[in-house]
Amino acid sequence: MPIPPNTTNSNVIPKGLSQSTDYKFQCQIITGNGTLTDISDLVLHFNLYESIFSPCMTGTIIVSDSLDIITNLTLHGNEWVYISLDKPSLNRPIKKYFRIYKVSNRGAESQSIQKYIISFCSEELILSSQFYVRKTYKGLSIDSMVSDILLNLLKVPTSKINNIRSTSGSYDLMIPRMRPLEAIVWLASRGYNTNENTFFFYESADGFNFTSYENMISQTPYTTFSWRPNVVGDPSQDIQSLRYAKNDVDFDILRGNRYGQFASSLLTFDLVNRTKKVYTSSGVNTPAKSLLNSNLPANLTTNRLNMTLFDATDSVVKFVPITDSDSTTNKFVPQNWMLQNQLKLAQLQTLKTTVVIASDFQIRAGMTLNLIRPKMQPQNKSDSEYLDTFRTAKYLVSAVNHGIIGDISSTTLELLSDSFADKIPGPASNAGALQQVKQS
Amino acid sequence: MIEKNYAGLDNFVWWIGVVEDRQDPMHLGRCRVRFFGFNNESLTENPTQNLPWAHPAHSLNDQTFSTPKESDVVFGFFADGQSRQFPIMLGVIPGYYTNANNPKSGYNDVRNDATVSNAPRPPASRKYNTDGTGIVITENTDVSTLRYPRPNQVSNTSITGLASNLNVPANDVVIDKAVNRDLKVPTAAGITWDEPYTPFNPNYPYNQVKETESGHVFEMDDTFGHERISMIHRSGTFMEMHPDGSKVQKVTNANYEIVMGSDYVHIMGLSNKTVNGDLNVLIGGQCNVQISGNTTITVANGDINMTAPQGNVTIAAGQTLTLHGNEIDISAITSINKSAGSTVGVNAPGGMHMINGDITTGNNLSSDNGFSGTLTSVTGAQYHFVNGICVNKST
Repeated sequence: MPIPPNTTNSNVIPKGLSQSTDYKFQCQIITGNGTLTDISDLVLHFNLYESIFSPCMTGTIIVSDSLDIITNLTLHGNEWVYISLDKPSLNRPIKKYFRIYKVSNRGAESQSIQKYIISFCSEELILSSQFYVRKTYKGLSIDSMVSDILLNLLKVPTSKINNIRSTSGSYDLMIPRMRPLEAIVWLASRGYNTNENTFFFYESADGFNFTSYENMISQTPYTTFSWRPNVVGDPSQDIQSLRYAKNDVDFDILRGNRYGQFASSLLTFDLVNRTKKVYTSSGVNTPAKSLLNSNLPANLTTNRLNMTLFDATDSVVKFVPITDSDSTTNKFVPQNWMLQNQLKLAQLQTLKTTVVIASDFQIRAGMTLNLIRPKMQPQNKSDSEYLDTFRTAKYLVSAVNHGIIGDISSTTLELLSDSFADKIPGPASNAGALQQVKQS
Repeated sequence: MIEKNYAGLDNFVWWIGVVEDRQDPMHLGRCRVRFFGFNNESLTENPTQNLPWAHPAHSLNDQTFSTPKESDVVFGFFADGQSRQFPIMLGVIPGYYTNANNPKSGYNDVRNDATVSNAPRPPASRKYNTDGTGIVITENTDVSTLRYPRPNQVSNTSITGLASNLNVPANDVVIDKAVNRDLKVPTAAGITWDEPYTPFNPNYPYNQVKETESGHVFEMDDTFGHERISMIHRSGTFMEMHPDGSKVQKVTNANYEIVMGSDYVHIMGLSNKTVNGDLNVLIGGQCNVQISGNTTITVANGDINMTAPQGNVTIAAGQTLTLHGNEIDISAITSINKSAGSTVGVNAPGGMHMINGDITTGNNLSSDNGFSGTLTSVTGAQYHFVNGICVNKST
């Protein structure tokens, strides 16, 4: 069902978020000898980025340096930075230490002012680039392997781990020379549980998360944003109105076929008992719990081969060898995760929208929210007629970028949806006309 | 085109590794391999039992079964490409064993003592008994010397020294076989013969040889002038074909040969058979022996017993039939019949004595030296002879 406009979860959104200029920002450089220097006032432009597709947070600071701290602190790109972001009314800051990994684009703005970019990331991203995992696991669940890599190999403090969700199945897996974070993402693609088919590993401001898509979308939507100007009150006080919005991706059959959005199949060949099996997957069978909204974004009309988009299981075929008939080893069971993972990642490319809101340091990648989208027509209709009922829907926040430019702070969100909120018509009632089109 | 998760279209990822376990529970010849680069040597992070099973790929013309052994360096590819979970073994890469085995570290033979104690090993020594009791094998029970590379293999190649005739251990069956030849074998013909020297003298790389873990050796040696085919059991039993076509066969313990059909043997030259012990021949059917030359049967210490309880014994000679003995006893249950084309001569300086019974003659009874004694006729008349002359007749 379409979401009614101007729906606000007032319990979630505290007051004080509306003003882009109301923010508290602290940025301190910690050098290799322990010197701590506050450069908050020198920051020209700040970005802090998190995404469900990225295992670590990253960011950049553009410094307008009139104190020549780059020389005085001997900054060369192997320092640390402490970031604190907050709203005055919230007192729930993002406080995190990051590792500086490079200082670049240094240039003189004037004789006494220089500008350069400090790039930083989580310490774990640096650590992960410094060694490989060459470890074998026998009879362990995926979440146990993920925990082992995080806690025992990367030595991540438990305080930085926000959520590790349990997975089903026991695997015998060899991590074959992968970077630790690469290995975790690789393992995540094999995670599944009852009614949970797609797992993600990412870092948000709350810490590291290993969780399922189904778990993410089962959370109460954080808030509702409206893709329309507030013409009634003070726009600057309307935190539900977007500063900017852009449709990046919409329905695309060719892309969907290429990535298995509608249907796919998996061929397995057991090397031990020489048995071939074929498994198929179709988007129409996606469980309701695995969808943000209730309707898949494609109709069920058939082509000249009498197939709907969801019948074309040959559009993507996977072929993997297995040895699952070997009772002495734990099974690989790609049928439990491979197609599902692929289907979900493809479905998430159905709708991709980028929006900019006044800075909200509480919003996290992995949350859901409701987005109200108008029809692109004169707004003289009632609210119900005003809506794009298909795309006015629940979305997953896949990425969050907190940005500060001068005195203005904003948060850019990447929103994804795997489904439509309204039913696509079809098959067509005028079958004769369709038949003519199909044979054309 | 690279396609993720599609075997054959995914990236081709090949590997080199070391075999650490070949006890495949599915009996397919799979081995647990520790991969260089993809694993490390830590037995904690990568216990041998956690390593994936690598499937063997046999060559098209080789349907035999064999597996690489622990510490062998093998290579292959991953059937699942970048996922790297399903290795296929393509071959073994030979090399020199530079370092001794370290069972506490990966890339080594890490088998425990219990496993090694039941594993194959070549004999520690062999004792060639020539009294008919067969060879005595002493096994190596020192498990510390049984992991690969074995002490005698360190600094040597992983290929058997028999391929190049270098660094062949003193207790190798080929050496034992050469120094334990059977010499001066007597024959019935009065000559002796020796077990031939083995022409083993391979030049690398012409000896195609397989030496198994327990010490069996199979060779097809193409070395010029020393062309051989040899099959040797670890006990020393062997069959070897020599460059000149000779075949030497030696059984170091009992020999059993069963022919369920017919047996045809054609010996174009001399045949000598020497049996140190007894020889028993049991023939279920008829026995036909044809001999072109003389036949000599000499029983040095014993008797000759020939019996035909249900049949006749015929001894026939085209010329003279000679029966010679210190004493000759001829007996018959019923009668003894003698016939001669002309005369029957009896040379008995002690005389010929008829113990019981009569002498009946259809013709004359004569004697070269004169017949002496009493001859009683069927009528009861008695004729007394002296030197062939009847000197008296009484009734």
